[in-house]
Amino acid sequence: MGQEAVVAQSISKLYNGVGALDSVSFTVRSGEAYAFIGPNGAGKSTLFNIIAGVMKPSSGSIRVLGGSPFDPSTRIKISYLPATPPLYPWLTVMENVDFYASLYGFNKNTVRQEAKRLLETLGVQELAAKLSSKLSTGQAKLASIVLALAVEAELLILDEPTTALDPAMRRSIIDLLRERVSKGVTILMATHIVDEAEGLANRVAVMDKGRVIADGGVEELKKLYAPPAVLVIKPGLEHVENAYAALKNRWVTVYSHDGEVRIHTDDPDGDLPKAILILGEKGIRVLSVSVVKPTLEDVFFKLTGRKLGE
Amino acid sequence: MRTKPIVSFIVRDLKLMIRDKMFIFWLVAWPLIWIFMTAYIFVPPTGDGGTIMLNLGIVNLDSSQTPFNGSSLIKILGEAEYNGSKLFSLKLYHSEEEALQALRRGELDSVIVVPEGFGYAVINPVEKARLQAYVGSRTPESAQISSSIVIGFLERFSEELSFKRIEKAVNIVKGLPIPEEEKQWLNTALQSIMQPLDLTVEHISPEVFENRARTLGWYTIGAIGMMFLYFGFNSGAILIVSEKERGTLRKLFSTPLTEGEFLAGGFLSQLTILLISTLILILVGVSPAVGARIIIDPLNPVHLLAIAFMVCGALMSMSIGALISLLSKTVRGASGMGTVLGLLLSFTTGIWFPLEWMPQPVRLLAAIFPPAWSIEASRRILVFENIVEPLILDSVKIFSSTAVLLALALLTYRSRIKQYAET
Repeated sequence: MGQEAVVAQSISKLYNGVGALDSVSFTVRSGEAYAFIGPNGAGKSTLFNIIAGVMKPSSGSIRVLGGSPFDPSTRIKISYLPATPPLYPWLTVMENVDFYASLYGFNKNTVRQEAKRLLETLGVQELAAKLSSKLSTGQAKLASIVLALAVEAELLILDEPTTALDPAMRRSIIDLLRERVSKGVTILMATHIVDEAEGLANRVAVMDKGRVIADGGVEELKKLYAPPAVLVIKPGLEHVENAYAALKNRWVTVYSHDGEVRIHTDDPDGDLPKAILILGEKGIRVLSVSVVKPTLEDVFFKLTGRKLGE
Repeated sequence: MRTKPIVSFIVRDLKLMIRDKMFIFWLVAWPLIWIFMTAYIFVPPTGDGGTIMLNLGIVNLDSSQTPFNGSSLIKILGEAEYNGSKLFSLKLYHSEEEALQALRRGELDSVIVVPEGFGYAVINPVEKARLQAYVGSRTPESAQISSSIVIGFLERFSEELSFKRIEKAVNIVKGLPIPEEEKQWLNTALQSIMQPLDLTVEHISPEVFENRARTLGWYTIGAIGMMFLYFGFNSGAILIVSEKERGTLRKLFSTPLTEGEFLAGGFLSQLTILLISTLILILVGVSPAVGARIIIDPLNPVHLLAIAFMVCGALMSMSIGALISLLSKTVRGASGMGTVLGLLLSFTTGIWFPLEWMPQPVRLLAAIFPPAWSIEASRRILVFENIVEPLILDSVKIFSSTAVLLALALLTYRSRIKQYAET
C-alpha cells in the first residue's frame, strides 16, 4: 500500500436539481480494500459510476490511478461491476467475457484462461457455455463477477457483488477478492452486507443520504461509534416486535434485525438479566440470548438511528 | 479509433442475428413472405394474374324452335373465355323475379333475361331481338367490371348478329337488277353503317410491369427497401436504450471504449446485418423459385454505384431510427415506433407499392424521403439497367442526404448516451 488509487474531493452530483451526492471526499490507497456501506439510495452507485468514468460529477474532482477516469487510458486499468449483471442474453458467459475483453484490447486467450480458472475455483465451470438468458439470478451474478475479475485490472469497482448469492458462494467470492488484494489490486466495494465489508475491507466508509458520514478502519469505526458489547436476544419470530416494544424504552439503542433484538450496552453482565426479566414479565418466550461484539450494522445504527436495510 | 472493439460489436450482433428467431423473421422471413406472395399470388408464374369470373344469372323464357335461340346464347355465354379462363359462371333461373332476388342478395354480378320469341326475332331481319340485362355487383369494386364485361359481351354479340343480317341483305342485293357499281356501293355503305368507327385498342403496361421477371426484380428490391426501413428504423431507435435497459451501457463506458468506437461498432454491426440480409433476399429473388431479374455486375462501376446507393439507404434508415429514439425512452416504445413508421413509409413512398398507385399528396412524401431515392435509383440500375438517368444528380442527392442524416444521428446518440449514463 502506498500511492493513492482514488482521490475524491468534494464530489457532488445533482439529478434534475436533486442531490444524489453531497460533497463526498475520501482517499483510497493502492492495494487497499475499501468498502462503502449504506442503505439503498445512499449514493454508493452514483459514486461508483463517477469513479468508473461513466458519469461526470456536478462539482468536485476525482483522480483515479493518477489520471482522470474519463480518459480511456485510465479506464483500461479499471474493471467495474455494476449492480445489474451486464450480460448480453444471447451470448454465452464465455462469449460475454470475450466481448468485454476485446473492448479492453486484452489478449482474448489470456482473459479466457483466467475466466475459466475463476469458474473452476467457484465450482461453476458449466456456466461457461451457458447462454446468459438461461442463467438464474445467482448464476448471472456469478458470471458477472467472473467478467469483472477476468480482466487484469489495477482497480476493481464492485457494486453489491454478492447480492443474490448464498452464504457459501459469498465466502468464495470474498476469498477471491482477498487473493486480488494480496496481489496489490485495489478494491472498492459497495455493500449493505456488513459481514462482507468486515471480512474484506481494510477501511470502510459509511454513507447515508449522499454523504460519507464516517470512514476509517473497521475496528476504528467500531471503537468510535459502537458500544463495547451488544446483547442479542432471539424470541420466537412471532414475538420479535413485542420484545422490541418491551425493551426499546429501557436502553438508549435498541433495534430489531433479522429476527433478533439488539441492545447496545456498556454493561452486558448487568443488562442481560434485566432484559430477560422484562421479557418474562410480559410473557415473551426467549429462544436464545448472547453477548456479542458490535458489527458495522451497529455502527451504522448508532450513526443514523436506522438499519442498513431500511 | 481501434478496430478490435468495433469488430467485436459486429461479431456480437451477428450472433444475435443467428440465435434470435424473431430477428431472423424480421430480417429474412418477412421480406421473403412478400417476395413469394408477389411471385405466386400477385404476379403468378402462369396467366395474367387471374381473370375475373362473373356470376351470371340467366332466365331463359325463349321456346323458339329456330337454329339460334335462347339456349344457343346460353351455350355461347358458358363457353366465353378470356386468356383461357371462363368469363362467366352461369346459373339458370326460372323467373326474372327469382333471378333479381339473387342479384339483390349479392349472389350474382348480373342477370340476363332472354324473352319469349328471342330465337324468332334473331332470324327475322325486320325484327329487333330483345335482351334484358341487369348489372349488379357482389362487391362495390366489381360493379364497374361486371358492367363493362356483360355490356361489352352483349354489344359484341349484337354486332355479330348485325353482320349476319348485312351478309344476308348483300346476298339479296346481289340477285337484284342493279348496276354492279351501285351494288358495290350499297354493300360498302351497309357495312360502314354497321361499323362506323374502326377502333383499334392496344393495352400498354407500365414499364414496371413490362414482364414478370422485371416485376419481381422491382418487388425484390422493394422488399429489401422495406426491410431497410423497418429494421433500420428499429435498430437505430433502440441502439442506446437497449444497452441501458439491459444494464450494459455503464459497463461498456467503464471500459476504454470511446463513444466513437461504440457508435461505429453499433452502426457497422447493424449495417453488416442489413447487407447480409440484402444478399440473402437478392439470392432468393433471382433463384428459379422466384425468378426475379436483378443484374449485378461487380465490374460495372454503375452497378457498384447502385450498391453504394443501397448502403446509403440502410445508413439513412438507421440514422432516421436515431431521430426516432428521441421520441421514446423505452426499447418497447422505440422499437414499436420504428417498425410501424418503417412499414408505413415503405408502403407510401414507392418502396413497396408503385408510386403510381398513390394519390398525389402522398407522392410528395416520396419526393422528400431520401431512403426512397436510394431504393429507386438502385432499382433503376439493377432491374431496368437504366443508366441514362441523371446519375450524378442522384449521387449528389443520396450521398449528401446520407451525410446530413448520419451527422444528425451522431449528435442525437451523443446526447442520448450522456443522458442515459447520467440517469
